[in-house]
Amino acid sequence: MNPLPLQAGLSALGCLAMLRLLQPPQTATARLRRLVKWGPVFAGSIGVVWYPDLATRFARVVGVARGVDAVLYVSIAVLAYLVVKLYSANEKQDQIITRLVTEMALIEGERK
Amino acid sequence: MGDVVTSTLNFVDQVVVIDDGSSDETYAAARSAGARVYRHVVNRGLGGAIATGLKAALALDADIIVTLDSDGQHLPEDIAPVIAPILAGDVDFVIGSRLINPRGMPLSRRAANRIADLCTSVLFGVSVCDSQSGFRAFSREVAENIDIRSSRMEVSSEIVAEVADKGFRIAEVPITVLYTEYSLSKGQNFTVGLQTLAKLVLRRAA
Repeated sequence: MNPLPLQAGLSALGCLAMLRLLQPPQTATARLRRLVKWGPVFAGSIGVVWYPDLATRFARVVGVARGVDAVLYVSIAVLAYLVVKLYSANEKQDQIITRLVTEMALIEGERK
Repeated sequence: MGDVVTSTLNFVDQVVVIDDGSSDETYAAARSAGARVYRHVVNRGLGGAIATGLKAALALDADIIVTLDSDGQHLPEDIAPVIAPILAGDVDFVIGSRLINPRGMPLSRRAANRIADLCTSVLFGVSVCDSQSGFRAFSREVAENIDIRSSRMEVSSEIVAEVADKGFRIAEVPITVLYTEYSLSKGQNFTVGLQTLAKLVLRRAA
């Protein structure tokens, strides 16, 4: 089976993700911070898609036997981080809604 | 609800009820019993209700604010002993503790409360006997200065943490609790407990 279409597809996804990092309405500082934080992850993913040997080398550096294991462990760590980030963002939205509801209740209560 | 308001009015100047998005007759019952009622357009949970209640009481020029659960488990007769340390100027915040004299409290609930106290202690460094009690008294100064961000059950630990963090003095006074089938059906189950813990960890990390 020719892996080229799969590699090209995954690379396109990685490039799209990289482009998203640069998009407004983020400020220049926030864009740079996001690029430094996520750029290596997406660039590394594209690199591993084309040169699977990179994953094996990385696995040896971090003390894991196989490259595929290293990719799996990194994926789990990234996913766990994203879940916490989403949970935290959801919690902030929840707090904002509560503040709004409180203010509405107080304004309506004062009218009566 | 009406009975709780009526009996509480014998011990305080004003009763504020937060109707947290209920679809029953809470609003009408509390209002006709003589309470000032503030209505949440959607349910926000315990934390949201307490935040609204404290702000409403401050707007009504309250000197001391007492929070009670509306399910009838707390006795309004306990208000006097709970606010006494604040009136004496000894402390700024009082917890009406169910665990100083826990007779009648189911063992599972006692264990859950002890775990919650331990979590509050580990996460925020405040050791109290009953951090989850809904019976509390706040001096005006405390109510003005604490920042309640939690919407749900985690607010109980957050209040204790905030009060201690702002340097206010805390006391605990024993209260009597009436456990009925209804009051026992309220509160946290295991899943909600885990969610509460996760939110407290996030709150601590923030």
